[in-house]
Amino acid sequence: MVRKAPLAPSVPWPLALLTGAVGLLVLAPIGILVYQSLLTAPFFAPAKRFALEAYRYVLHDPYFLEALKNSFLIGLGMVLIAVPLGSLFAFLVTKTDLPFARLFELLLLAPIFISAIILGIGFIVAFGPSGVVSGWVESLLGHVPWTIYTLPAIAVIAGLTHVPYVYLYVASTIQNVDASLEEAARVAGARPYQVALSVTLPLVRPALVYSGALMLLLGFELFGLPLVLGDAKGILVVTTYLYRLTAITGTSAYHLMAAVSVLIVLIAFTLVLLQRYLVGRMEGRYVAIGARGYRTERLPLGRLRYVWAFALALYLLVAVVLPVLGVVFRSLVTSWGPGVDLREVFTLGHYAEVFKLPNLSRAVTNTLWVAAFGGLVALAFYLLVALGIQRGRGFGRVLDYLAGLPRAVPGLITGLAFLWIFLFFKPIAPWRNTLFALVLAYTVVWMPYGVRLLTAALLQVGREVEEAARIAGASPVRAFLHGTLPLLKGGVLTAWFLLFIQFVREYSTGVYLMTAGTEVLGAQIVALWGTGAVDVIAALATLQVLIVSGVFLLANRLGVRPQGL
Amino acid sequence: MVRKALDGQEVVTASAETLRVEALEVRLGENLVLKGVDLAVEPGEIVALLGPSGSGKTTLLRAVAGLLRPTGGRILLGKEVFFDGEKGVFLPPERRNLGLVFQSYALWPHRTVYENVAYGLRLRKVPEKAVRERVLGLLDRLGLTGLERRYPGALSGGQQQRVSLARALAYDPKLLLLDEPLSNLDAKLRDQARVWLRETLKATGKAALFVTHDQGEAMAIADRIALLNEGRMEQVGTPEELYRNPKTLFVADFLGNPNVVEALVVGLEGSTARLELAGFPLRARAMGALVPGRLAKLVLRPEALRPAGVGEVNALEGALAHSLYLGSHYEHWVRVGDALLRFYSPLPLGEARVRLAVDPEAALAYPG
Repeated sequence: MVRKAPLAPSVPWPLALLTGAVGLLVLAPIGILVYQSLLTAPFFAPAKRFALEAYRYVLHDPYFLEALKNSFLIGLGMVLIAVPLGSLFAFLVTKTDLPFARLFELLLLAPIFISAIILGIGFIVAFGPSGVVSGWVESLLGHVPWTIYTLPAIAVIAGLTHVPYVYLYVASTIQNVDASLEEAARVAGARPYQVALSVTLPLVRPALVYSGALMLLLGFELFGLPLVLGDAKGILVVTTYLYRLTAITGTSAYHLMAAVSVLIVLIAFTLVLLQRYLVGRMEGRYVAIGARGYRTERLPLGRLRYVWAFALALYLLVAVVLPVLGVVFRSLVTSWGPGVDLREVFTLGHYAEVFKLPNLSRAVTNTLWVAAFGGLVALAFYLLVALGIQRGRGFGRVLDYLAGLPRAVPGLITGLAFLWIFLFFKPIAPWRNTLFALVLAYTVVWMPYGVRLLTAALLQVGREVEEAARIAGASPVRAFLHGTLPLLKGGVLTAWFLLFIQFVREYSTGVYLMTAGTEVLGAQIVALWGTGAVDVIAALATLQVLIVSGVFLLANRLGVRPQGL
Repeated sequence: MVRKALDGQEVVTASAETLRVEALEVRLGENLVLKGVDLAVEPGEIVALLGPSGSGKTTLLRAVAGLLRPTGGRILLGKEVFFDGEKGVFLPPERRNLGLVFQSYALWPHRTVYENVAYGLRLRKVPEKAVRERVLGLLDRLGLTGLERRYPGALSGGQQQRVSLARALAYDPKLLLLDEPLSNLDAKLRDQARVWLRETLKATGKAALFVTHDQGEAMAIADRIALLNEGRMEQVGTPEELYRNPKTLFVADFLGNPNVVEALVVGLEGSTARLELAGFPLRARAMGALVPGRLAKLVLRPEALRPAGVGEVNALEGALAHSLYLGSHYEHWVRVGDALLRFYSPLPLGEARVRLAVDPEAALAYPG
């Protein structure tokens, strides 16, 4: 009775081709890492054999175990700081009559779009030993009552800068809570804060658990913050351990790097599975994560509303405004310290230097090119994958699974793996020196994010439009082009803006892949960090912030709402 | 379960306080939703807020509950001021001590039936033993025994509705508010639920104010009906009063599904009007200031029309246009001049022309 032939515009073989391509893109990096980790020498070396030597070395290296412990502690700190704060802010902004809620909403999203490494540098510039804020506090109190170069400090800073990720998930879920559930509690005698604790937050528990697991995961993948903050005291986490591996061992440690990478991927993969398991168990009695609902009447906070607004403003000041302004400020002065006259040190020289040095100016243009053009390529690819997932039945499930895998592979490691792939396969080796290499790696790193954006957009359009076109006599492809695609425009535009921003912001994926000629802003900052060229770094960072804010404000005006990881 | 509700052995303190709504105004955005509404609900009384959608009935209920803030007027329960526009008093919902049954029931999906019902008592710091007694007693009275450990997702619509009522009654509220309490039940269940709801509410002795758009529901359950139209109170009275003596054309038209036709006013004799409809003279009750020589709106309920006997006066004649068989009765449409009049008969009609008689008392004439 029901015709089994798919309504989808794809007959099986393009679908099979697509699945093959995604599989290759996703599995090849993991494959080469596993392969290299099992060798005793670089994969291109003539003399090599299979052994578990690399794992034995790494797992007995006290530095690695220390780094592993640090990563875990930082992740834990992030859970303990970001989940409560993010949930609190989400409740305040979406459910109460908090003043300036619109503005807070906008500012709260900022850290998602600013590289962690820039925020890290911002914290140093603002709150570091010779920082702008520290200096001011010292002149007030006689000493600075904090330090930012310790493990707890890194955990706190990581927690603060990741509040927005939790906020996004919890806020979008809270908006789905049926307002009458909260009204019922109020009529029964609950004050607004009792409503929050006894109804709203328990109902969004899946979102809380989900973002808790996300914090652990992001804690393990954290690279920029521990790189800049852990440096001074030699505090390593797993990613910076990987990055510094060559320096520590003093040898070209291909197999060790591969082994560390595989271990990180394994841990991340476990965390992703744990997240899915925990959230999957909670279906039914709670409000589902995701899609936005309608706005409802706001709970009155009474006289406390300004107190809460002040708390939120204080958070934003410490976690976003001061670090970002610190970076901007640093980019405009020659030096900074106690007793320096602002008029004397003001300069635009760092920017002049950026545009004078070819590798730095190239970083700016390359970044824009990768974000605009690469973003478009990635977008088209993700759209195909999303369509395949929605309509591919058996293939769809495989695609869904494959497209989600890169979640467990941090950008730094994907970049490393692609570097090796370009070294390994001679036919594509020349591409290593082109921006294509970066675009390819970025496309893989951001696949779970991009595919989810487009799957959600596809879901909103619904199949009826296309089915109506088919009934009216259109071919599958024509039905898609004339029926679904025009309605998809909004969702695709949103996805393109968000991908553009993420591609500008990306810094870890390019660390290993970047070559002379293919510099990009984020990776260039990482490379320069070792040289201590803070002036130029601040200028580059400011440029990145400017590009991202410009695009973000434009997108916001066009009604684009950000999506968390 | 209906029997049990009737027993009502549990001690309920029927509050002796009157809810008074005075000149209430509610503005939502640009829209003036309530334009000065007055209403009183006496102790122990069940009042239905009836009206077409957009008439402001739910808004009025939410204003009484404190879920929205009116822009003017007053709401009082006994001596307690819930809202006073002039003095700027607004008591938040949690301090009004009311019970509210939501249209969607709004049961908390993450709490068991027991915990749903116990919530209000917990907030009032009632000792655990008393909570248990009260909750289990209520569940028993509402026929929910044995379901206390279930989650709302595992209950039928009817059970959810009763849990929702139990939750609203648990902390002995001064007044019960119900928002379309039966609209989520399927048609068959609804007829039983009407009887059950009225008996249960009466057994608690509490005053209740409930919103409905279903006139049958309002008539069946309420002691009095308050009929709202476009943010104004059209008429408040017992179901019979509203049905027999509708003050305005809107009320007459809204209750039942009457024929409304235009007729020429020929003359007035006290409270009786002499009309002419398609050449037939007709006597009707004058329900307002009618002017001879002008057109009036004549309301003829189908149930007031009957085939005229020989020599019966106050009758109209027309051609039978349609006859529909509706199971329990026939519905006939008769063309009288330009108008189509609807009436019922238990048996099919034999002839093509029909003479219809109406008592002058049952024909209502309103100024056009």
